[in-house]
Amino acid sequence: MKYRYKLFRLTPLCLFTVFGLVGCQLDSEFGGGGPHSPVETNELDPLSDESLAGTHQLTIKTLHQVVEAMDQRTGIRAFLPSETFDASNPRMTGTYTELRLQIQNALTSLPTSPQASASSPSHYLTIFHLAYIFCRVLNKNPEARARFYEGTPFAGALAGPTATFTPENRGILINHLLDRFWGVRSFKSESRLEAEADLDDLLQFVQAGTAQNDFNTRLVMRAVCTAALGSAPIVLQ
Amino acid sequence: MNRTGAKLKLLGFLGGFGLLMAAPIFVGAQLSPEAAEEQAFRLYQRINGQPPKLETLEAMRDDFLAGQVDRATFRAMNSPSLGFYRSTLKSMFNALSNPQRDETLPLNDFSATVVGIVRDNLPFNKILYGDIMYTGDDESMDFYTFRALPNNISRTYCGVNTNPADCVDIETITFEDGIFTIPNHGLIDGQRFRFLRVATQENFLGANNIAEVVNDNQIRMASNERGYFIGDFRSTLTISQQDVVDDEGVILLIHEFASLEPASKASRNPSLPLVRDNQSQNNINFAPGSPNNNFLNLQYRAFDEEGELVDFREDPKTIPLLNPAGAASRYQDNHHYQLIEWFMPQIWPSRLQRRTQTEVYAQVSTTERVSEADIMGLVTLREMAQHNFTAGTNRAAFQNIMSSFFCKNMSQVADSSAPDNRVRRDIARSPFSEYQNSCRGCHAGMDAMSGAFAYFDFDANNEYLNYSPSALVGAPNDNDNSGVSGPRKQYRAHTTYPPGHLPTDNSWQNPWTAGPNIVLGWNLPSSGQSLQSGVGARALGEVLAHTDAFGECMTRRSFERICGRPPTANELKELKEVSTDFRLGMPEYASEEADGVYNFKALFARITPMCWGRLP
Repeated sequence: MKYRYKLFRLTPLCLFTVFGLVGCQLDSEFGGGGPHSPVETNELDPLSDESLAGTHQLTIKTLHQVVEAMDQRTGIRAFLPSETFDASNPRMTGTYTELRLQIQNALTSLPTSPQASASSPSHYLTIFHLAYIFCRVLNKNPEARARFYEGTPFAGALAGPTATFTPENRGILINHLLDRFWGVRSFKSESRLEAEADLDDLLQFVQAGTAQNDFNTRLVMRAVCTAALGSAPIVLQ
Repeated sequence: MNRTGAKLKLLGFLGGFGLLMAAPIFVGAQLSPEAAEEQAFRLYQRINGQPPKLETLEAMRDDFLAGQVDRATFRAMNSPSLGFYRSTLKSMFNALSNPQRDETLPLNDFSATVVGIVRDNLPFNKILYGDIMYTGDDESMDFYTFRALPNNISRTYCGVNTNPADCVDIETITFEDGIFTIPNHGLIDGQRFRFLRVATQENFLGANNIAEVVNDNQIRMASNERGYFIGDFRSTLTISQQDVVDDEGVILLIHEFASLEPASKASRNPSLPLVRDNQSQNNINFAPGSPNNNFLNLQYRAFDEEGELVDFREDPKTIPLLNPAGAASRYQDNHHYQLIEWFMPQIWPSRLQRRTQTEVYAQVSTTERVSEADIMGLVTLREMAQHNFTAGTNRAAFQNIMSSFFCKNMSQVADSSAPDNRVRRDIARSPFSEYQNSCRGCHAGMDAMSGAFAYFDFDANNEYLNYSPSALVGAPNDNDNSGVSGPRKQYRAHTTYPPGHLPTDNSWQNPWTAGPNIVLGWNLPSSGQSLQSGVGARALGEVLAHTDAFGECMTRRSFERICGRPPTANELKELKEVSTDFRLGMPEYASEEADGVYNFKALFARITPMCWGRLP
């Protein structure tokens, strides 16, 4: 099968699913080599399938590109701290430092080969972990949360999950995340609706049975944020 | 619901998203506005690594609808995000700097120079022969950074006019937002103070800091003779239960009335402010991203004309490329570039400044500096030089050039019919049939041309490039025979086949202008440099840089980066024409200042419509 796609829910697992199909696709087209890592022994061999002429191929961003995309879309600006970094706020300082160190650790733990087939497990986990790191800052740090969720019920003091995630608020949260992370005009309406439904399912699944306090509310927000941020639109190009 | 939308509904959101990006596209169909915007969105990400701003997206969409995908490409490349340089170009060419094809390397002289050449629309083939390199600009070299490792060495603080030997312990020194909290510091306004290293009493920072007393327990480094004071990278740093030490000793805070002379006065070329005065190399041993991340980053910071603190993040600074101190005054590392990237992560491409390798090597206090005739663009820059000239016989340099810039491994260019008069003595000729069938094909050309690199040796232990034009004199001796590094490594294994060629200078010959490798497309450089022979690496680079094969390889690599796949056979034919345009220049891109010969941005723009802008 040249292209293999499957329906999946928008949970963290989707990241693996996305990479699974990408890896499958790359393997089938290029004998395991990535799109910009031509096999040295036959570097100038052309593709035999002329039906691919005129097309472009799905590729995976480099880890730096993924970080930059997350950086830009969350507004954390880990690589340009002056925009959000408040030296007078020890909490912000600590959060920022933690974020930056974790990103550095993630990036330095990368495999040296850019080939999709060679970097699969650690690559995927690293990307997902990066999304988690960014979303942790967004939902843990009050200043970062207030800035990111400005204009929504999630910017200030939070109640427990049940009180917070009313149907209306769920929609506000999910739309806010999708607008910020994926852009308001990047996808067809059908895709958007499916993503919203997936995120809503995830949100309700995660919050079910949790204790009614603001900590758990932020945990749920973090989970939904991570799922949206670590997904294909941020990772693929 | 249109057909694409229906597919998405069936396949699920992200699967459908992937399909949209990957599905075969029927050539010639017109894009709908929606499809044009989707492709513009993806192309921008392909080039910049991050999503576009709305106004850019709309402009690119309109370009797509107008059938001007190349214009959309320029729009993406010219994005203020600089993502084209920071992610695409950097990673693409990082991979070509090393045999492992590792594109995750930090910024280095190789990738920075590529970025600078492309940014400034210089002829791209100069990467193989230009006396060129890019470093941080002058304004980015005013600050120094050093690594300081936390350690449990005794904490000592010295009173006014005390002998350092009489220092007394203190428990904590807190440094936050430019203010040191030192209990009962005893300083008065205007007093000078400095940092010392306890073990050697050496002036550590090399400048006298002037204290501004906040209160009995707090001081601010108001200024020093450069107008800077020391600050913390994170702005807040608490040093508790430990001192700040560098690799060699303890760093203490000490203050005194007397004016202190700088520790050293290094000479420098006034026209090239790469080298700072009175700066100890110990200050700058800093390696962001190193496995040992247990460091604290301290950095000078500046005041503006009104005495207000200048945030280095808005006016980022880093260390100079070269260190003036003694043996370290060599082009010893690429930390300069790592710091540029570390401190200017978003804007570093705009802060690169063009210089020449001649200038930089003129600052190196070695007795034998790299001759201009042996400067060969990226090949003699440190990042690639370490792979080209470490141990061995420097044949690796030629092999790496073929692989990185000609897209060919040696077996693909082997020519057993080429004259073997330059095959060296370390290659056995017996059994002759094996030599003829397995060795000669590669070595006839490789040995003849890599003679251009005879004077180079990369010292892997001390990590700098040696250049020794006077070393290859006198008959080879027994010591040379077993040598694997050092300037006389060209003589290694010279007893294997004594009638073979013995390199004694940096001359080279090119046996490939006839025979099967004529297909590489040898074009006479405008300088008139002979294609058949020459002296020095630069001359060889000039010949290689003007071949069709170089342009075709760069075109091929660009295609794969833009389209995400190798070309088909038919596309390869089209790419050959594109590479010719690349070599001759594309006047239609004059409005983008990209109409010159070997313009890399024009190459990207020309290739993009080959795989973007069409729909089912």
